Amino acid sequence: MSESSQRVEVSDHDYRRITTFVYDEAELFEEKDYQTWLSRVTEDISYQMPVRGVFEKGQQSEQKFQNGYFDDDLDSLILRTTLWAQASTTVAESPPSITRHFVTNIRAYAGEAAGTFQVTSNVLVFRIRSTSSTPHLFSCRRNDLLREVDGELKLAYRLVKMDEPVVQSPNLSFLV
Amino acid sequence: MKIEQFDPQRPGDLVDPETGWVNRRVFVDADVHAMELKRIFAQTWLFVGHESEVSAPGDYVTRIMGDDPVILSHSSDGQFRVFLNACPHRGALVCRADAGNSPSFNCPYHGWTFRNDGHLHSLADKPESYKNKVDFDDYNLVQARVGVYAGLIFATFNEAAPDLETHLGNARWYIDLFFNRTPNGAEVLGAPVKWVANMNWKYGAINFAADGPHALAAHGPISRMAIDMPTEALVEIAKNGPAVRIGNGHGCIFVPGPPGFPDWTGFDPATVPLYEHMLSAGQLGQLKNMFNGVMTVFPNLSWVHFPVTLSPKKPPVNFFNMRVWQPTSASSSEIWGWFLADKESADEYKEASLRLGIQTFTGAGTFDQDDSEAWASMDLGSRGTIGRQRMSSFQMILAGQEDLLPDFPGPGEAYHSTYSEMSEFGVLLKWREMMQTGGA
Repeated sequence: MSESSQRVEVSDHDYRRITTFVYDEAELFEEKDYQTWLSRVTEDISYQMPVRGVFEKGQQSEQKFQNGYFDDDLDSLILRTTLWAQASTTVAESPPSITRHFVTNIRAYAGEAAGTFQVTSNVLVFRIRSTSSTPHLFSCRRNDLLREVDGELKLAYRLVKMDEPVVQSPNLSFLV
Repeated sequence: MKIEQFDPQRPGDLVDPETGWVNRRVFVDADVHAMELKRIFAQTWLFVGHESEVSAPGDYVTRIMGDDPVILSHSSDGQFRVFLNACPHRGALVCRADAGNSPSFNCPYHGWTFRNDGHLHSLADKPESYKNKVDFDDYNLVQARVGVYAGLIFATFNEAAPDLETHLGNARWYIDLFFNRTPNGAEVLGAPVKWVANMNWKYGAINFAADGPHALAAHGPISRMAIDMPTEALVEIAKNGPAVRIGNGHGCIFVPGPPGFPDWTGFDPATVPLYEHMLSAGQLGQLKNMFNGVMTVFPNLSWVHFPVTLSPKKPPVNFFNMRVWQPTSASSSEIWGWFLADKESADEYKEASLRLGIQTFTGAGTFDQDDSEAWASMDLGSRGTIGRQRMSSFQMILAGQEDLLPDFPGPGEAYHSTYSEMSEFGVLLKWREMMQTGGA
């Protein structure tokens, strides 16, 4: 609970807007409608998914450089999703994988800057790839920063804290 | 050659060195896989880590050698040591974390402890309780032989294996181009990512030894986007890039830049002048026009290095990805991937290089995501009752072997083209030799 202490809860109205944003986003991912999703991120978006490890208590040293699976800005997100969205531009998503995004534990707080919200959630993705009918379950926690832009909520930052030290899937050609 | 009927004790016969045909059992058969663990992974030198991962005394990382868990320890006496991660008492893991710093390792079952140099420190009961009937010298952690070259730490439990220098042989000339080109050498940028691929480990090792034509077939659109060259130009440079059969199963390719490609594209301008202190004229010449360098050190260590950009606003920067293909089962491997940079580079360059590496060559990478599906497809198409009786083809060697490059500056046999399958097939020739003789 430490990350929620000292935080300012948002109004019911804003909580409703935020959950709608988050659930809409999950549907866009399931439908692979990345074009619409990209219209809901800020130009300075940072999307990160660092590596996860297993450590004794107190032994996880601060790494100067953080390896991981995603460290994207808007340009690389556009490139990635363009590849996924078009038939035959990636072996990975031709045929497309089937994903279902389950989003829970959504909490929202006022961000430090005016017009921003800190949003945390848990996500479970059920995924089938063309070469395997056995599902892969991808579990993670998300730390998001949403920002008001011209009266609309947009995703400005997402830190995906994955739960698998060894990803039990040959690829991660999807977003969470 | 009738390699449909082979002697199970001589699985090397499944590779025909004359014709380039390889029986697909090599890639899918559980018995062949079990034999590989004994005849290859337990016999030869295996990569376990880079010096920069365990730079301080007390640092350790846990690794896998074949199917055995091991600990790479920078012991308090300053040595790099590799232990079987198993308590000499009953075999439990004595370390269950990925990495850390500790003076000792503790068995979770009876609490036996071992110093980070592998020596038994304490038992469940006092040693006297054994009434002098037990030799406690037998109760230290089992240590592997350790060898270090260019910051790369290798180990083997085989006392009879030739030394690391002999195993690497001519590969050292090529390793130097990547790991030993500045006075301080390379360093890893963070911990390895790890993911499971549905394929035999050799598909990876062979792909990185390396396979030219797949780059355009599996990665065509991303290659055009990230490299900013038309497909025809990419094909042209790949077809005219040397493939080197280094010897001992090691292999690499060099894809040179196209005409007009500036020397040292994507390299760190701050460290390139340092290369002259470390590399020969021949090595420098090979490196400065290198667009793409890909290499496998037999059996399961590989790397790839080339300049990319995923943004039209930013110039290309080299990423440097090193990986191990862990042989989990006949049809499953773990890929462990690191990124590295010259230690002398500024943090800003390292961060840019790491970011581009993450975006291209990890489990979520815009290149790797395609390989993993192609490899899973090869596994599925080859593992059936009928499928495994068929042959995989490396028959481009029949043409490629005629195009030896007489003036190539590096050691080993360099052939004209990354399309030749010559360097790839070299991995399987060494595999054949070791599987036939039962060891190094």
